Formats: sequence, C-alpha cells, structure tokens
Amino acid sequence: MFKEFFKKSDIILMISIIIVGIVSSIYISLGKTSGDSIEIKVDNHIYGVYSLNKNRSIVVNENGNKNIVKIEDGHAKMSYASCKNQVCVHHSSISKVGESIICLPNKVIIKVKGVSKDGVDAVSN
Amino acid sequence: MQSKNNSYNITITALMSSLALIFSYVEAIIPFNAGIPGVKLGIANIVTVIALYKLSIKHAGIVSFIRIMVAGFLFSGLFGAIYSLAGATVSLIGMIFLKKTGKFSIAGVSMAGGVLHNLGQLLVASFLIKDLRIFFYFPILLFSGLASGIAIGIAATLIMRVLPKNLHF
Repeated sequence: MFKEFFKKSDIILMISIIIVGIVSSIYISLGKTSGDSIEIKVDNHIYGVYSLNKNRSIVVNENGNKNIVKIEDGHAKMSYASCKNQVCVHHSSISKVGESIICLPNKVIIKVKGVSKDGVDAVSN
Repeated sequence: MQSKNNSYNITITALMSSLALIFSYVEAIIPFNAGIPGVKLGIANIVTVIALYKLSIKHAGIVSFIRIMVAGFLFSGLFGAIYSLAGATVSLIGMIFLKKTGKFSIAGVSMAGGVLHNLGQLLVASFLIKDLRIFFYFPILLFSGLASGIAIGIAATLIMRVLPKNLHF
C-alpha cells in the first residue's frame, strides 16, 4: 500500500521535513519572545500596565515606600527603591515575556506581559 | 493545426479551472476550521497536480492562477487571494523542480508542494503583518502542509490511473 505511492527519495524528503518541523517546534517552545508591556503589582494589587515601546519612568508611591521603574528601549528596570537590600535595583533589566523583578521589602513586582491576542489572526481567512 | 491546438488549450484550461473552482467551493462550504489560518485540505490542488503531470507546467500555472483569483473574489476576499497566490507560486516552482529531478513520485512532489504552499503563505503573512512572531505557526503549518500534500498526492495518483494516458489528442 505504502510502496504504491512513495519512492525512496519521497521517504527521505518526508523524514527531513518532519525533522525540521520537530526541531523548529522545540526551538520555538524554548525560545522566549520579547514582551509588549510590563505590569506593576504592589502588594498583590495591579498598580498599572505600561507599554515597553515608550521610554518613561514610573514612580510607584505606595504604603509609604517609593520605587522608580524605568522603561528604556523595550527594557524595564528598577532604577530606585527605598528598601534596604537593593536587590531589585541590582537586578538586570527585563524584556522577555514572563521575566520579572521583585522588590520584596516594598512588595513591588514588575512582570513582562506577552503579545495581545488580536492582530495576528485578524486578516487572513 | 495551430487553431485546433489553441482551441484545445483554451477548452482544457477552462475545464480544469472550473473543476478546480468547484473543489474550492466544496472546500469553502465544508465547515472545517482548525482555528489556524492556512490549515486546510486544499483539494483544489488535485487539479493543479494533475495538470502538472498530464498537461504542462504552463497549464498548471494558468489553471491555479485562474482558480485562485476567482475563488479569492468569490469566497475568501482579496487578502486570501494574495496569500494563496504566493503559496501557489512557491509551491508550483518547488513541484516543477522536484518533478524535473525524476526521483520523486506524484505523492512526494505533492507533499513538497503542500509544505511549500504553506511556507509561501507564511512568508507573505510575515511581510504583510510585519511581525516575526507569526513564525510561531511554522511547525503547525509545516505538518499540516505535509499531511494535506500527501493526501492530495495519493488522490491525484489514484485519479490519474483511470485517466487516459495522454489528455492531448
């Protein structure tokens, strides 16, 4: 049945296409994508969502603590924190979906959010 | 003699195009939606494959061009037609190349055609949308093109067995 339709070179081609497919899906599932926006949470409440495309500084003044989040060229970092240990300030900047910076003493969390769902599927039918 | 050939070509091209168009229509009314643009059976491509083997490269190209333009305006809109056209061009070039090597069966050629069709569409989509994240679809489209290409190829093989050896007089 199988030999009726396929030659040896067909099988080789098929196997190489399948390998390319598997390798690329592994690569995609491993590779992280750049995020669109950051979400700032203070004490588990959403303080605000800010686009990564616009350079700006966000001053977070909550519960008597002060944090400054800086967005620059698609990367976000904590540029100032009023806390003692300064771990978050020394954290390298974040830009990929799912990455986060956490300032534990002030209970401030910055998290990179992914693509908004619309756009990709909108045109094609 | 020349005029007989001309009218033969016009007739056979028109016939094949309308046959392909019917297949497009049948596919358009089948309520099958995989949720991902580009994942479909593409049964109209049976006609393209048969035209490629039984007639000529030129016939295959013209038939698939007419089918895509008319089906695009009737069913899927202009954007759909642009995607299909890009996919069909890439796929046809690939199939011609593979057929010329003589090492591949009809099913194999059609399989490569199915994969290339989806890749062509993906390239145009990434160009139009200007967002490389669309390549997330790459593995899915690769496998769906593979599966539909094989199905189309087997169908075309079976059909060609019962067709007369040469469609030319």
